[in-house]
Amino acid sequence: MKAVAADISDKPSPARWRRIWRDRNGRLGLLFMGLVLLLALSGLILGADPNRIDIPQRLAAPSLAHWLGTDNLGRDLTARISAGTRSALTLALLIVAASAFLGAVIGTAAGLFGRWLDWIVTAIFDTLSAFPALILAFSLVALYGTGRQTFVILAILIFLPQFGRLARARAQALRHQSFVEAERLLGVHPMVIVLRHILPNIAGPLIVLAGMNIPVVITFEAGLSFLGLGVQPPASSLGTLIKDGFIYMSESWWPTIGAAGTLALATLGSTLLAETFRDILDPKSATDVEGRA
Amino acid sequence: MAFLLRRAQAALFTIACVMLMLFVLVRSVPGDMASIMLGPRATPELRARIVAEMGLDQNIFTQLWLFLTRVVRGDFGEDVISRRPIFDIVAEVLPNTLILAGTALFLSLVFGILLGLIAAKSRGSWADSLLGLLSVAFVSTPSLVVSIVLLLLFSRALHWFPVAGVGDSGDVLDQLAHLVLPATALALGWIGYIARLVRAALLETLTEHHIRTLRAYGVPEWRIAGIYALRLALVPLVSILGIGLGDLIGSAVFAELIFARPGIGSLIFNSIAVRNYPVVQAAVLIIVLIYILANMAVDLINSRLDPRIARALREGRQA
Amino acid sequence: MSVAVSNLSVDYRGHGPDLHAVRDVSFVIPPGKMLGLVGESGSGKSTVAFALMGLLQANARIISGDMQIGGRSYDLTKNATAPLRGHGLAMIFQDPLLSLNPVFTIGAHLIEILRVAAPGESAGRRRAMAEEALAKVKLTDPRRRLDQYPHELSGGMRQRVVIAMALLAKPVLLIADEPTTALDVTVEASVMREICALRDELNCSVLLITHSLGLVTKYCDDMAVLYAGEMLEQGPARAIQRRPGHPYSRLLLDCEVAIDQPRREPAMANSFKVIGGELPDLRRPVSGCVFAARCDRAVADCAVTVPSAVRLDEEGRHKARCLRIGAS
Repeated sequence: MKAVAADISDKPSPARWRRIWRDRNGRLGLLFMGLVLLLALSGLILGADPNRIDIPQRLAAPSLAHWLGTDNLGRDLTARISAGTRSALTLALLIVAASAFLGAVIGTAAGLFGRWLDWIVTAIFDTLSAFPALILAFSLVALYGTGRQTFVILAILIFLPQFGRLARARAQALRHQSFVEAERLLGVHPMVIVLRHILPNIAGPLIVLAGMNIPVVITFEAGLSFLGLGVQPPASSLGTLIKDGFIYMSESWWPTIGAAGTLALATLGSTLLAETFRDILDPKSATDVEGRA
Repeated sequence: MAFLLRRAQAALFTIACVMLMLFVLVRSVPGDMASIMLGPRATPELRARIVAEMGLDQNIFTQLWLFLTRVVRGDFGEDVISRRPIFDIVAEVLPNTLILAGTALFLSLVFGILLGLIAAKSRGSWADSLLGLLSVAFVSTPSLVVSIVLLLLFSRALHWFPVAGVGDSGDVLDQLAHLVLPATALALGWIGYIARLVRAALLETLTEHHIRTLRAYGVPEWRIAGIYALRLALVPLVSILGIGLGDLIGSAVFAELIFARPGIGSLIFNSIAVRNYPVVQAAVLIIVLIYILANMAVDLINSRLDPRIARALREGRQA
Repeated sequence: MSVAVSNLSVDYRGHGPDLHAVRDVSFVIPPGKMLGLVGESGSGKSTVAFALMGLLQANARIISGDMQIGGRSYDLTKNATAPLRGHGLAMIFQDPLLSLNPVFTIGAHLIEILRVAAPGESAGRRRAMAEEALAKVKLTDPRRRLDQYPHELSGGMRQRVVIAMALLAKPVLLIADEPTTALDVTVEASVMREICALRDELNCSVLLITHSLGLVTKYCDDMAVLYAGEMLEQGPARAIQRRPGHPYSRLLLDCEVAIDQPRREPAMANSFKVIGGELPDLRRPVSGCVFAARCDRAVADCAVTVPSAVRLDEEGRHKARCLRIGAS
């Protein structure tokens, strides 16, 4: 029995998933995210058109035909929430991945090279961080208008600094490590040093930070879309769904609660999952002092 | 004192950067400056006035200088629709938002610390697990969702609290009744966050050697936890309060829109809708100023709480 | 007001069977005297100290033990000494860098102690008493020190602050747990002098926990040798130094330098004497003499028969537990 167990845990990734499953919060996170994914995919599987208008059926309660009811134009809410969830998840992954990547590149460059580059990058990061996230979004949207692309770009700009700061601090610390200094003295190309030492060393914390930011970005996207400043109709987003439902709330509370509940499930699930992942990857930074390791 | 100066210097630098950035942002938008600033209301007379006011016919550095000197004087220009000073428009709604965010911060602190203390005290028990799960749920649920649920539940269904507005200006009780739901909606996330922070910080401090020293000298357990451990645990808590206030002011827009409260969030939102950029710019700048000042205040409080921070900063190290 | 500890046994719970860290330890410290409790790391000497204070970790359990202070008996298994902390009992800790709260001033610490030790006094009077205590432990400029923070003081100064705390508590028994281990050798002597001065002023009993035999022979009146949770020998420090009764004590004295140093650095084995072998596993019941496996004079019987205490002087103050005493 013992030998078998050791055999399995030697393979890193299944073992890691099992550790997430062993943790109570991790299990809940997987469960919730599984539900959210199922909902996201259900629209594709069931094939209902999220934009098919059916006025006689407007604001219908959940039924066999419309599992989650219909909205003010009689559109099927299951299909719409499914599409909104897909959009929320893809946008969140895209934005987090892009900000993490760009932040890593810019931060590493600032931390490793150049005094003036470091100075400018730090000043820009500090300036961007001087805005509360939503407020920065407001002033950018006010200038550049709305739209999916604009939204993605401004979100990357807002979420980039924290990744950049982390990468910069790590790179700076590593620069003075003896093994890096030695290779530099030996004339090893800086790119090689970056690829061999710096990236592997900053990847872990960056991934943890990226995971922790997924629910934040989901919330951010939904919030801006709720305000009509993010994803624009007819493309559905959980935020616009909540807004549409909110407008007709005196007639039917169902549409807004369905979308809001999905949003809450997605943020809760991804938070639980990201925190479990963080505790497994980096037990030192665990907020829980008991240490789950 | 040296610490205060150093901190103020850093804050001033950031403020300068922020103003520069706002200036550059506006100029970076392709197209005619005057029509960006005026939005859909551009008439030839208004254009001429904007061009003269902002020095748009002069070189970019003169424009920057004009912008900076006017902002420093608190002069954000005049609103083209209402012909009122923009500063007054922002200042009028700002108190509503500050009261809302301040109340939310107060609620977060009171309930966050309380729940954190309970969780730390009952560590490992079912109450601790329950509070832990509850805190994650609080932290992760967007205040937008909380606002809607509270509105549906307590205003629409149960009729416990009023649906909209800030209440009658003379009636404090009425104002408080209008404040309860939006403030709770905003606070919930931070209650969860603070509860977790306080729990972790307390558990960590309570294992430290100096706590054992106090125990060895017979200091009562409640004094150890409530004074000596708490004060150390407060340092990380205070550190996040600046960010907390900023986030609360930013997220206030949802509570303000959903509960139909006038405030700086809804002002920005409405101004974006009619493309009234000068008002957005002024409101954003004022919020950022408050945010930077709050973060500075946080550092000052922390340097009083933990003398090591002040020393580290005095010596130029990052705390 | 003599302090006596009798039949102290402590277990630690963990994975698997309980670890019997301290077994049936007894000793007496007359007032105004200092007892040095020596042993290597893991011998259970700190467990003894924390058991007397009632400050053991949650996974520790006191199986048996009484402490007599001033004619009264306190049941250690019921944590009966806890109310004595801060007046009857006081403790000085190993690491002065960590034993003071970094966000409170020196004065705040001392005044907090006085809330327990001198409940009736006014705030102003307490401050004066705190200042006086700092002066007694020879801290320069005591009034200014009251308003300073721990990080502004050196390690030696901080340890003096803790000694001042002990002074204010006016204990009957003062426990000093490796008070100089974390300090420079140059500071060691002055800190030990302050502890001796405190003992003389209060005429209290002092239990000095240490792994340094040099410290014990220099400052202590009596000495007790702990090994693997058992007391192997105790008696007047001079007598043991001159004529150790137990082979373990003799080997310790031969090593002379810090006990656990040679174990860690095999390279030193050439220049210093080393006691070979390792501590026995305390989760299993020990048969015979605990030291038998490492003893250079052990005979077959040592692994089977539990040795009883043998008196080595007329008054019965010097005792050792070894079967081979008297044998050639």
